[in-house]
Amino acid sequence: MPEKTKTDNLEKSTKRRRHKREQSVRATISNVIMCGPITVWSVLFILVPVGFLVFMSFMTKGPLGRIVYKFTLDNYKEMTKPVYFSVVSESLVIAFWTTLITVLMGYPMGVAMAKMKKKTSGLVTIALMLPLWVSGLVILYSFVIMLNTSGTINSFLLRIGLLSKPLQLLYNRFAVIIGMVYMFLPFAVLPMYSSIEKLDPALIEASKDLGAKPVTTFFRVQLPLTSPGIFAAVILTFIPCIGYYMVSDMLGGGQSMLVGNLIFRQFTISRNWPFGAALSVVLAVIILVMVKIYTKLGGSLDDLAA
Amino acid sequence: MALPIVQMVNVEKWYGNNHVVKNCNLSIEAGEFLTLLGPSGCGKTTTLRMISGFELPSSGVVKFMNENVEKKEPYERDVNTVFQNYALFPNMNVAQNIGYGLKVKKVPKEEIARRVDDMLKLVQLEGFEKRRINQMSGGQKQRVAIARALINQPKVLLLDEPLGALDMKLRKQMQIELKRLQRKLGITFVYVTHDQEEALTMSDRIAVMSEGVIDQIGTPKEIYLHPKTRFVAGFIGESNLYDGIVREIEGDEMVIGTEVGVFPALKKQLTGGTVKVNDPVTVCIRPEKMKAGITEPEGFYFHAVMKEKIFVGNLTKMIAVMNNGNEIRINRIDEKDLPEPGQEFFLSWDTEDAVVIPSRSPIALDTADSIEAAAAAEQPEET
Ligand SMILES: Nc1ncnc2c1ncn2[C@@H]1O[C@H](COP(=O)(O)OP(=O)(O)OP(=O)(O)O)[C@@H](O)[C@H]1O
Ligand SMILES: [Mg+2]
Repeated sequence: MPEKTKTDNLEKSTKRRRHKREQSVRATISNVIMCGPITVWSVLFILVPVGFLVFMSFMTKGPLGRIVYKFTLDNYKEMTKPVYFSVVSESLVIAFWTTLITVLMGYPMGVAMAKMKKKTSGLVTIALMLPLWVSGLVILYSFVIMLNTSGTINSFLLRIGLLSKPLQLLYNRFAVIIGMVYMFLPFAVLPMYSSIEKLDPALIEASKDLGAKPVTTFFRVQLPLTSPGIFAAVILTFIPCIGYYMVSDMLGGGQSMLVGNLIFRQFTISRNWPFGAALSVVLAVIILVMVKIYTKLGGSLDDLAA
Repeated sequence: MALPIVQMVNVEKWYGNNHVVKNCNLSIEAGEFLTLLGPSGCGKTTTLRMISGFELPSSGVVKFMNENVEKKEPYERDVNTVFQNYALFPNMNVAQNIGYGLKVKKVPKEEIARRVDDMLKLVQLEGFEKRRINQMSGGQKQRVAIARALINQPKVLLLDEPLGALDMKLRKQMQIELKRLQRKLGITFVYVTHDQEEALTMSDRIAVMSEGVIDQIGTPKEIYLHPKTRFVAGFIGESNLYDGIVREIEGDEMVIGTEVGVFPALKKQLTGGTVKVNDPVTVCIRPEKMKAGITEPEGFYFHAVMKEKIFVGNLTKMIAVMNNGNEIRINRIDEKDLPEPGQEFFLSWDTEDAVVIPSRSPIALDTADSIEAAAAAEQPEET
């Protein structure tokens, strides 16, 4: 029996070798050249850092933020502490409201854009993207200026006498959600616009022709058929919302701690890189699972990229 | 006469500066199969959409049973449409597509199920209930679209080139099925096509459209045998068309001078109006009415030379050239006693096979000149 497997293996390996030799050298070279840059790029900038992140998440925290290269599961166990539950739930609540508001605002915008001429909708797309080219920091500072107790909105409302004492608009959940919505709206509008635009207008007409009123037509035909775009919008808002720490840092005033802030803090103030790495890994896994669900439900990854 | 089920009165449609439908007057009788026939872009779809309510006329009225429906939305009108590319809902299966019209009207589930079953039987798609739309062939999708439109039991069914996407054979088969279905259900069909053969096969009446104008409405026979305009004569079937002028009128007969020569015609074969001497006309003679004789016929004739003979299965198509260079088309079912290519022969036709159509606009001067020249060159030879 062992004899036989040995000869089998031998045969296989000689076959493989022969096959290798048969492959023309030129083809191999051209393959390497063609795949080379992208391979090098992905290994260097994706595989290595992610691998290192995962590796780090199993290491031990040393004194003074140093890393001790000793395997441990403590970082993951740490996460099950109730303290972190509140962080997660706060993140989820903010992400939920942000997503809901963004989609509800974005869908009508997508509908409006789909009705425009190609040229106009192109201009609107550029206008939508414009804020993304400005540093997020600048945008968030302008929100601070606007929402401050002595800010634009409050002083206006005080001046016209609608208020007797300034409202606390900044440094709470409300401010964070406003900031988040502003940041993610463009990402949500575009995929919804693209799926609304792709919808065959004859289907809407067919529905009306068969006796469906506009509202019925919307819920039975338009909404189901544009759901991939809505899905993409949800994914593109919800996921980055959990990890985006800048908004809650600046507009939340440390009141609402999100997962993103927690991770950020591990790498900066707390200097606990292994725990930060573990948190990142878990977040990444959650996101991957969500994307997986999205594709399972029939969403296409191209829509996310659009 | 019974009240027309749909009526269009002086309907005009403009898209910006584009005058798409011009003074359309159309009465559609209950239970008839009416076809809107015309080349691409002539305004057929637009006319249909004004009936279904997706477009409003720029002026004029659309009436259903004598009631102005201007204020009625498409979902309130008692018509249903079979769309050109079916427009089936991809998010629903076959049964859900068919039942959609009832579902949105909140008809009880059991009744929907029963009527969907009836419809599936009607269009011979039993067993396909649960199929997804993208798993159906073109012909099957077509049937689903028809079933979906018919389940509401509309008084009028509008069909916009419903067979356009099907191959020839399936098309012919569906034409017959559709016609049978229409007879069986007694529903009024308004059918749009640019295929004249399809129109002739299926319709009770045909409305021929050209550049937004309905040139003629009539039974397939009327349209074919007595085209009222040059366009209709050229668009429906094959024809030999000659522009000319009326030279003499005497009793029941006229003498027409055309580019191919001078010949007699009958007053009863005059379509689309009256004429006086010197009025411009077009003469239409169908290729199958042309006679190509080897021996000298009685009555008038012209000399012509056979140029080409093309066998197309059920008939032989020929092209002959007259002495003055005009090409003549001749069709024959049998090949007996026909001149061979290159052979000279006697071209003639029965006087009553020449349809005379008054021209709307005076013929161009150079045509008139060439008619004079032709008339001088070749007089018909009488025996
Ligand atoms: N929504 C619209 N806006 C502007 N012009 C239009 C519109 N719809 C149609 N037209 C124009 O009106 C004319 C008639 O169009 P219509 O669709 O009625 O033609 P059709 O006879 O159905 O042609 P086809 O056989 O190609 O379908 C065309 O010149 C077309 O360009
Ligand atoms: Mg059309």
